[in-house]
Amino acid sequence: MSTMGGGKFGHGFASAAGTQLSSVMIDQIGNGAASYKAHRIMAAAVVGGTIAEVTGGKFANGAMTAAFAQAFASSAQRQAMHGSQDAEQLGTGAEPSFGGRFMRGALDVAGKIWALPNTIIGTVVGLAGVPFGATISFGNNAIQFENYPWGDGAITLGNSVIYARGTSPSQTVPGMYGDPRYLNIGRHERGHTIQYQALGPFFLPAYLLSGGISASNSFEQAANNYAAGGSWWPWRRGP
Amino acid sequence: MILRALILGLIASLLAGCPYDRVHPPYLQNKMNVPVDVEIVLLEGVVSAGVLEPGGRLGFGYRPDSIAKVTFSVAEKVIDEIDALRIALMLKCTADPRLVTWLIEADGLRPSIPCS
Repeated sequence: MSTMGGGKFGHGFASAAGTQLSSVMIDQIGNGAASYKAHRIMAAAVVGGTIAEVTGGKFANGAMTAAFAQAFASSAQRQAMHGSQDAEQLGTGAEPSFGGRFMRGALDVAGKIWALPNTIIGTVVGLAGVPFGATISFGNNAIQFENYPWGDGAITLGNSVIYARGTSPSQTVPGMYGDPRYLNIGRHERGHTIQYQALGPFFLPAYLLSGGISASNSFEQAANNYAAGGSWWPWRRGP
Repeated sequence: MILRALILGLIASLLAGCPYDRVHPPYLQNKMNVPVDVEIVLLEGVVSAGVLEPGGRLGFGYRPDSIAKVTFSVAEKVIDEIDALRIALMLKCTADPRLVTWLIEADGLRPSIPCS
């Protein structure tokens, strides 16, 4: 978006990254009420624009990128909190109007493009297992590599999920990250794919900053909640 | 400059950790046409109970050495129970425990392939 607007790609990324890091505070504006959505987008635009300016880019480009990212995240979050199960995925929620369906489809595609660098890495890693017996399927919002020869469990990179030998998308797994609920691993990984679609290249740094592979990681807790029928967004408010 | 730093950060993140969700063996599958109630008791006393539908597959997020007992029952009748010692034996059934699925049947658990 920044490149199209005449700025440098890096400034747009910096703006979006800075805004994402500030999102916890921005999301608190108006206690998350829908009527304050415009205020939150405006706040994100100011933060993003300032970051772009400080890092040598154009205020307008940074503001636009950050505003888009905030609108994108809040839309997805709203769907997750109030929509049907499929509405939790970016752009696929139940909506009566053609315009709404088109918008969600566009958001879903944008999210998949946003997550594409990670998806490519995951796909390359997954394909490396094919000569050793790994199989390819599509499901849970991802390209799935099953029967992967190495490891035990599942790993998600963008819209690509790798299941080690013995683990399958349909498997029920009690005790994931200490969670005693009997959760479906495929749906847990699907939650991660949607997190990737929202955060794109910032997902992995954000995941790492949230504690890496640990029970306290907000992204893992959110993926567990998503598998149980809740929201995939780590910092959702309300029930 | 910033893009380069972000790429390096991305690679560092990949190396340091990404969502790798462990699913520990033994892996099980309900081969009956009725749901199976599963109750896991951890060594620390935590109890995790759930239902495995017909055909459903089960793995463990808990480390096997943290499990004290797993009970399988149908209509409140226990069909099998595995403790820490039996879990350890199940994991030694073959050189690679991921290759064995333990089938839950009316008369208890049995391996999908013969133990070596």
